[in-house]
Amino acid sequence: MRFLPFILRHLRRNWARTSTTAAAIALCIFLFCTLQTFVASLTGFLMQGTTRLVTRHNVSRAFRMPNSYEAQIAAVPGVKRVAAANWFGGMRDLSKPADVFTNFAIEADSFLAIYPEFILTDEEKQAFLNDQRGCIIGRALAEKFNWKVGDAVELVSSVSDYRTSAPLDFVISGIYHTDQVRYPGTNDALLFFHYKYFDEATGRKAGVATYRVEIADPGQVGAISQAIDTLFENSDAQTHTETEAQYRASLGVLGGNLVLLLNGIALTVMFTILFVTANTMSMAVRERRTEIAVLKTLGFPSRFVMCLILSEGAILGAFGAVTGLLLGRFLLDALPNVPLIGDLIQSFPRMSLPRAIAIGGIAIGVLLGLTAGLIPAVLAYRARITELVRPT
Amino acid sequence: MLPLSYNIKSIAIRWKSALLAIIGISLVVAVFLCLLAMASGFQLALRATGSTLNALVLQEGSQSELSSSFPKDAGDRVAVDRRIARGVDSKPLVSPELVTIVALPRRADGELSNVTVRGVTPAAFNVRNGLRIIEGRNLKPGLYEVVVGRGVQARIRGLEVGQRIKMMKREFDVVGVMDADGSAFDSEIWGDFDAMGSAFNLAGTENSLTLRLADRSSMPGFDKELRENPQVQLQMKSERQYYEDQAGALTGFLRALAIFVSVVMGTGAVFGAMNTMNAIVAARSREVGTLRALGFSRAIILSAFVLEGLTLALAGGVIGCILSLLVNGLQATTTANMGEIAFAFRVTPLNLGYGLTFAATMGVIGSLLPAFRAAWLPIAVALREA
Repeated sequence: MRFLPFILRHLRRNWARTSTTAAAIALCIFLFCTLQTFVASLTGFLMQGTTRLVTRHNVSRAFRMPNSYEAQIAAVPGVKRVAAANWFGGMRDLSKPADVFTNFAIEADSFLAIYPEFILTDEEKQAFLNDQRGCIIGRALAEKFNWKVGDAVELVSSVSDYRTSAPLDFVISGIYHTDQVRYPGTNDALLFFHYKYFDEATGRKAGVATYRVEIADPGQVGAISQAIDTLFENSDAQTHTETEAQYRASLGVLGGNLVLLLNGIALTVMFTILFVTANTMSMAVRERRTEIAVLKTLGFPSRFVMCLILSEGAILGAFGAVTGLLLGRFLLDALPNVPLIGDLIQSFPRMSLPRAIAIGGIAIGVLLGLTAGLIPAVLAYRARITELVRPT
Repeated sequence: MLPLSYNIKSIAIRWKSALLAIIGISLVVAVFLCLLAMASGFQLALRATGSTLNALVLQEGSQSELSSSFPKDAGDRVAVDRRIARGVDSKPLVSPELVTIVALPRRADGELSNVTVRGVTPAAFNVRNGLRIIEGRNLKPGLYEVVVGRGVQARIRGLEVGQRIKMMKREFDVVGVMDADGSAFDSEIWGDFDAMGSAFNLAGTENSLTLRLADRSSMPGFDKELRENPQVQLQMKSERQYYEDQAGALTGFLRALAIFVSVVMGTGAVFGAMNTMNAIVAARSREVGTLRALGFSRAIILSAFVLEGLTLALAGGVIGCILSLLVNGLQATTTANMGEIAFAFRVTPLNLGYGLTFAATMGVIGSLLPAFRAAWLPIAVALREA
């Protein structure tokens, strides 16, 4: 600690070099944390709901099951709740595919109980449940289209079987909120409306695309899935029941590949900072050969000289990492308003930097600084005084 | 003008520092190119699927074949239109198709994967070019048989010729393997139109109609007529356009990710290059002073250092390009049209060009400040500095 001012003085010696290196580290740590946050929310999203199963037609989700299955599934021992949910594919204007957002017809009462991650106030929830034509939307969707509670929304489905002669009209009963800490990756750009309204509008012929099933004991996933599928084994529409994680994975664009890709990028980013920082550290040490010789001549042990250089690297790394995190905090808020990148981010669940990743980012910064300082530090440790004072 | 060998020699003296800067730049270029290669590969696979010669008829407002559906007789009325080209057998080149998805187990882990299944008539093979049966034989009309794309056969269990797969309540014989030249059809299973219709309870309907127009310029008028038909509203778009639209969202995402990641990483690498160039300039200030004293102008000194940074960055760019070639041809799958599509990473010459341009930009930006510092240093000061 006594030598901290000495180390800081060294860092200030070449002001431009220190600040550009710190900026390079900051940018890379920022990128690293952003990518990791994204990966965390993606995997968090895939892993949610260990007590939830999804039952669909066994051929694929392009086929639908009769409405009568619900009561039979609910009667299976171990099943707590069942809710029908159909992806509606509704659009405000079929000729404008760019405007698209995701909307579902749900059996609201049980669905909201199964999915606690869509948070509504009691009044909003009651208003939604009481209004046959009510719908609830996520915060991001409300911002995108500038929608408020009470606004009317008209949707036509792009799915052939769900086409109605006139668009379905809704009134927004509430705007749901999400808790990204408890339920990472919850999508806040969805619209939900009543299955009953949808069923009546389509002439009670549409059927059910998925049954969302909540079970009491996560240990019974296999047994209950099998029990449900056995129920309908001999009927016209056989079913396939899987965990929600499996179901989501089968829908995902790129899914596991994307996580691998982002982790690969994060790793390359770390290597890049390592090279930039190592470059700076070795330059800094090379310039100070004579000074190191003086320190050694004065009787400071070689180990002490080595520690000085290593701490210099670590401080540089930590400084860069903290700057990067501050940058990240600011940018994650500001980014959705940038044209190209904003659109990109909006199609994903809202992110916030988890504490574990922030701490990880700082640790990586410090570690990289130490690693970058390692080679020059060892060289300084080994070099003899006579070598150091000899002009190059 | 100073000779180029002067720059190269001066980089060689500080080779360790130069090498670190080069590696930094090459990694940035490599990441940038890998992401672009993924976007290009996916886009090329879908682009290869749609021919510019063909047009696709869908239900009006449908974004994909899967969500489009219309009665077969409406399709039949379109199929006799005189604007449609005729094949060698003088029959119109029209292919009515049923499209659905079926969940089948992956070979790797047995997890279910969504495969696009298409019901076709023999006309499908005439309307589309480049489809070849590479194993077994083609479909026979009216039978419960399928041919499987090469890609889907490699990915899904139980699709060897001679095996049977169960879809709905029907068993289908796998009779052949189809090679579609890397297009999306390689990821599909094709069966007979009528057999599929009855197996999937879709008889009397179709999802799409692919046809060849005698004159491509008739498409907008044809499209307008189809949309305005009071009985069944359909739409027509070029097959190429349809598949490019399907690729749009994912390629857009990958390109945006490529730009975001590489701009941030690239700025970091520019700082690294700047440090190296600064060190190079500082070490040679006396040399610069001498050159100026000899009469070389500021512009020449400036351009010499920028050229040096550029050389350094281009070396990094070339290494990055070589690194990215390692992923060329890598197989990946993604979801499009709601079924999985396999595609290969493609590092195109254009992408390599972007990579090198990106590297050069980093080099110039990184060396500009240090170069200015060198060129504007007063001669007397420069000569005095150790």
